[in-house]
Amino acid sequence: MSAPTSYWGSMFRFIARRLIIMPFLLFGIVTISFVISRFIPSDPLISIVGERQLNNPVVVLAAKQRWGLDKSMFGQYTSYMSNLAKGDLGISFRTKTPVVGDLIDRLPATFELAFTAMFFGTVGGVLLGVLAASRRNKIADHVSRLFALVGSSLPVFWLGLVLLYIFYARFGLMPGPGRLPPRVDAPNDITGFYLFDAILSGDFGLVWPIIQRLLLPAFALGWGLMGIISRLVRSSMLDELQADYVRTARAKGLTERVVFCKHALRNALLPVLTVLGFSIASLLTGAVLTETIFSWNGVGSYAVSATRSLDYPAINGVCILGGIVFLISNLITDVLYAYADPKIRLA
Amino acid sequence: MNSLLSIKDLHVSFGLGLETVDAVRGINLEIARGEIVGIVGESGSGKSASMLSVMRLLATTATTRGTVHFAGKELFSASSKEMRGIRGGKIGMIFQDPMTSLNPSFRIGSQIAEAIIRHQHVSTKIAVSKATDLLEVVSIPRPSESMSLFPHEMSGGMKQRVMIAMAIANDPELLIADEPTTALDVTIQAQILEVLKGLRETRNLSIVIITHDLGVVAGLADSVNVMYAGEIVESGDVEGVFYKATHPYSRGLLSCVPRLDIRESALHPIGGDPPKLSEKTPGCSFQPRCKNAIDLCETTSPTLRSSTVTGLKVSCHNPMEPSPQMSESI
Ligand SMILES: Nc1ncnc2c1ncn2[C@@H]1O[C@H](COP(=O)(O)OP(=O)(O)OP(=O)(O)O)[C@@H](O)[C@H]1O
Ligand SMILES: [Mg+2]
Repeated sequence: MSAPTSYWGSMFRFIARRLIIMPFLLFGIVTISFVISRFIPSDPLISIVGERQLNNPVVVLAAKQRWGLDKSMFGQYTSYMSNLAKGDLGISFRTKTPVVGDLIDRLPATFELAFTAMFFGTVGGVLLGVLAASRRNKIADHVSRLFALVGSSLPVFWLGLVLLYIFYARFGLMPGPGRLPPRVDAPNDITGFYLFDAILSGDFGLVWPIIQRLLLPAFALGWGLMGIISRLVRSSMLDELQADYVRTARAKGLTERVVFCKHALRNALLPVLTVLGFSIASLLTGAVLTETIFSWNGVGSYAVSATRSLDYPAINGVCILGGIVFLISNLITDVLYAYADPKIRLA
Repeated sequence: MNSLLSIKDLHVSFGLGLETVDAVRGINLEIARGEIVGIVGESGSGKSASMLSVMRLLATTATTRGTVHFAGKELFSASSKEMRGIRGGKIGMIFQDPMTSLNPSFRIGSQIAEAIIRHQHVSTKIAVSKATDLLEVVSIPRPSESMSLFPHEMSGGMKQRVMIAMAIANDPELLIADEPTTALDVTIQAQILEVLKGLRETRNLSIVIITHDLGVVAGLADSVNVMYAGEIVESGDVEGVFYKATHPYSRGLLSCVPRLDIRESALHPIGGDPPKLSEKTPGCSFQPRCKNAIDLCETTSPTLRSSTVTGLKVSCHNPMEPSPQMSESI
């Protein structure tokens, strides 16, 4: 019998503890990504000075000094770390602008895509799962199984390409790649999320084209999650429907809809929260590929270009960002889980 | 017939793969308003199955046959909408396992209030205050604070009281209590039985109480039905059954009325096991375990008939003598 204060007190302590260890985890992530990127057997100087200048020792030396590549690896590491402590991720070799700024510019695009994908994945997945459970072994169940199988077993880049081919190239039902129609300026940069910016700056004509362009990539990215969640919800719904409390709910005279959508679903959703936490990692990986296919100017396509040109600061910056997003999303998942499942006491 | 509940020739079978389990094999039962009827029998004798079928809450694998009239209405032919009005409204049910019968994700207050809102169509605020009053009725300490507890924060006895509160929330005419005290220790058991008794006094509630504990029945019920392998083998008013039972199975049950020191004895009162319900035998289903069996028992199954000697109904070819010393053991 815990009083509400001690409940929120333990919740607060739990969050605080997790936030305290977060820098240590990030330190590990940075170190590992730093080491791995330096061991790639290729020379970033090619992308810095260009292949032609690679034989010009003067240019090469100047570039090395300019970008700090003349130092030992350990020296590079310590100076990177001390800059990092000041919130400085260095200058990108490729864009020649600060990595922090690059990431901040591109983050909204990725979030816009990932959140929409997550929305499709969870809402669609839960709806499909409940539908499949209530029509167990009927047509709707089989169709949703097939749909889930396609989404969760085929790679996201393939899904993206096929969707683009069918809906854009073949039948012209959807616009092509890109966040905006060709030759259209982005709405005023207020939040970086085009959709919000268009609404906030009163540019309502842009709202539908923006949504339309978001649909295919977000669906391609969210399809796998939708498949996983729909299967999970189906099986946990079927489990929960066997539970004694479902019979109690029926014995109260409640309709099947309430029994399903309130009593059983509430319990069946608990495992979904865990999957959502883990799914953030795969959404991020998926975003890299999806952004490339749909010319989406976000962190994913930035990461791809950075890797292609061995842009060390950019690569490490993306890794740190990914790490932060991953750790925070896990924390949110745990807190949500503790909140949703009254049996969990945060220790 | 002015009985509140009237069950006629009720059969319940479960399809289990290729087998069918005949869990209830043609029982008849009448319950008057304000009457408390006990159903006793070993585990698996079909007590829960027969009462769940009244509520039409059996698993989907079950098929039922026969008729159930409740307040004049036949329930097996009622629409599902009518059934929903009866469930929780006119008939309340307390389930066997209080540990798993409450939804773990909702506070108990809202689970009770939900039942009230469903049938009385009142505002949440009124439902909550009614629910709080109900917690008082079932003697839950500090009712208004207890409203916000989750099931896992309560003991088994408290959960059972919540189940009772929920079942009587809409002032039903009939309460079906399936082993309301089995999971509980003896003092709490006595308290719960007091609660049920009080409800009969104050609300003229009819109660069906299912148990394999004859002590519970003795203290509470007006009449008793002894079930064995899906059939009622002996029935009558409670004193009659306790003092004058003649069916060998009833006598077996009575000879081991649970004692406080050996609770387990109630579970296996008689040597041998009950028959497999998926097999049909021509004779009496108790015959293989019966000390009193005669040749006839092997070939023909007995029917429930009024005995001129005891005034009870008994289903036996060779009933025992009513024994005078039975009264001492109670
Ligand atoms: N859902 C089900 N599927 C298959 N068989 C079932 C099902 N429910 C009950 N049975 C079978 O029906 C028979 C009667 O079960 P029931 O639950 O009515 O017994 P009971 O008298 O209530 O016993 P207990 O005292 O253990 O609660 C048992 O043999 C049981 O195995
Ligand atoms: Mg039972």
